[in-house]
Amino acid sequence: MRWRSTCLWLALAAMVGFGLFHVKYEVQRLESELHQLNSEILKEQRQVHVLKAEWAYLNRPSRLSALAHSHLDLVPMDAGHTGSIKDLPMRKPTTSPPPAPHRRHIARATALPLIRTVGELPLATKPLSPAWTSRLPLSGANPNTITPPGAPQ
Amino acid sequence: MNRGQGGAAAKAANGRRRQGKTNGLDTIRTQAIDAGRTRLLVTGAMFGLVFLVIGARLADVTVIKQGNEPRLVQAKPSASWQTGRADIVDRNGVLLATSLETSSLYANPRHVLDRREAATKLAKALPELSAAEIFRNLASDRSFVWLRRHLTPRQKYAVNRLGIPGLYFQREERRVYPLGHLVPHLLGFTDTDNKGIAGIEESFDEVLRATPEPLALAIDIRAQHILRRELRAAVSRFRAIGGGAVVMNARTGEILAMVSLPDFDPNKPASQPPTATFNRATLGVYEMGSTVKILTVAMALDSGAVTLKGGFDASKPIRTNRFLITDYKPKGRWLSVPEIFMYSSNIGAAKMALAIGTNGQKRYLGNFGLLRQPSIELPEVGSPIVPSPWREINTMTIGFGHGLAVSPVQLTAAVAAVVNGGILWPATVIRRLAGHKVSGRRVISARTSEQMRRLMRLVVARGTGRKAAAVGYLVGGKTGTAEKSGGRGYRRKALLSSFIAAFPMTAPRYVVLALLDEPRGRRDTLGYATGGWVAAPVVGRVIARLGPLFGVPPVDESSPRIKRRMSIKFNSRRRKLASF
Repeated sequence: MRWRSTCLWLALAAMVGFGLFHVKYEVQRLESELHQLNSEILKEQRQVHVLKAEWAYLNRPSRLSALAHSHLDLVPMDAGHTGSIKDLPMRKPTTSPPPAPHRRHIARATALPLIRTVGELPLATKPLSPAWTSRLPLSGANPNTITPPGAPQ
Repeated sequence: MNRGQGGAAAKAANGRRRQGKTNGLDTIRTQAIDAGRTRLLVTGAMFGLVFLVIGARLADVTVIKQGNEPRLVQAKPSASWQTGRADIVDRNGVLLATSLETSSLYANPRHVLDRREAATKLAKALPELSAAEIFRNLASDRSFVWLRRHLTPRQKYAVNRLGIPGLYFQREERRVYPLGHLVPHLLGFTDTDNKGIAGIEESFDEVLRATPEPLALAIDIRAQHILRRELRAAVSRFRAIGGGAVVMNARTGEILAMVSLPDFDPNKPASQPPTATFNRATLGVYEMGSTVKILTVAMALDSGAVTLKGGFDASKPIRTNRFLITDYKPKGRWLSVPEIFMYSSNIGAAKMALAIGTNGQKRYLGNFGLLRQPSIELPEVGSPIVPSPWREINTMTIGFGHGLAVSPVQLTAAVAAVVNGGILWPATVIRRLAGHKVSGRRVISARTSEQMRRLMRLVVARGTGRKAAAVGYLVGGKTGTAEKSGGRGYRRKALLSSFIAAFPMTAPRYVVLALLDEPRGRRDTLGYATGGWVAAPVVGRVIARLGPLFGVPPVDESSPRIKRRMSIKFNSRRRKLASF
């Protein structure tokens, strides 16, 4: 009887000791991993910092405008490129479905600069009826809602 | 207590021993065992109690949660990496100045095995150093010599590749301006110890060192690029010795772009001539010429010295004992106030200034902030040159912009106040946050401001500023052509040609000033180098680009609504020339 209980207690003590050391080594391992991750984060942050400087350098407006001039077929926007929804004429409602746009027209339309309106859009106050919007060639993304980033008020 | 008990038990045992031997012995044994048990019980109970307390405390500490303990223990987040000096960014967050880590190469000559070979190899890896120079450095018997400061990563790699013993790297920080020539005067630069010694770097030196947060300026890099490009083109076209330009938000006083030419690369500040580091927009003070007539007319209308219907006789030049005030293109007749402004009549403006009076002019100019140093956050700020004593002749000449020298930024802020409804905002190069309230000061009434907007529109629509008309943006402005003073009197050929404009004139949002220093006329400008020929086209082109950039909705300038809002009545009753 006494032997048995002694064995039981010894076994328990051994198990607890094993558990303790196991947890201890696990914590040590995790801590060294944490330390390594932290130093990697710092290293990445340093590299991101350098890349940010490089990004700013490569995005110099003079360089961008030279690149745009040599590679793109675009011109600076002027007042004539800007319009408002109000200026668009209303389309006559027709019963027949609109003809499919010719490929040439699509190509030309994508080459045109985006029409941009600033201020209140009439869309915001009076939504178009679903019958109208379903017929519009462009569904989903509305290019008219683009406002210039960071335009000072 | 135990002992007392024991003593009593022993006495009792002695008494029993006398009574009988065997019986007594039994009793003694029993009693001793009893006493032992009692002692054990008491000791055990005490130990048990202590263990109970320890156990309870153990459970309390480990198992039971305390109220202030977090549910999940988190490791302290690693301190994020930061440089010793904060970045500077523009209003949209574009990086303007940052600190980069660099490596500087030094050597311990005592550890270098073969100095001659090392010098030859190094000179190949770093072509800007000569082998003889490196060898001279390595030949010294010091234990530390700098070979080259601030290597690029590629150079560092090349040096490491050589595998020469005795060469070491020291990690250092260096200020870098990725945009180079674009904003040098505003940013300034630092010395080799990363201490700001010019521009924002100097005025915000402590702030940049103290907080890791980037400093956001009011400037917009896109507007800056447009302004610099157009001004540069004009400076080279008219072979001017320099130029300055400012774009200001008329409703907040924020400076969105500021250019001074010639400029420099802040990455290499040491090799710059002082003319390049001179900021013409804030440090330079100039007699601005006719652009000051905006202020003269505004104060005349605001003080009630004259109304839009009034006018002055500009048929004859004004003669005083030293000066002769004439018009550039004399009309030789009585001119109404809008005509004086539109044709930029010096005689009319001088008489208008006299009608306001010296004290009134001083008070208004003081309110416009033209008589003391502006409060802009830069170390390079010029103080205006104010006449002393302020005589009547000064009042007259200041009326058309001579005799009072102010910086372009000061004039821009004053004109912004004239067009924005009459509130003067202090000029600032730091971005104003949306909720941040700054106190503007009313300098003229809203009604006067409205009249001035019509007058400035008139100059661009029909007067001297027609070349600044950016179609659709309803530009209004005023030309200025001043002769620079040199030695005694004014030099006729050395001009300071400027143009200041605001747009859109229905509710101005931006003010643009361009100024060229000593432009020379060309054949295609008919030999003219005046503000209307030289500076107005710059402003016009800049506004044509800024309008879409800032999302200013263009208007149809010929629509009846706009025409009505910009209309101005001026009676040009002609006096018969035959009367004199």
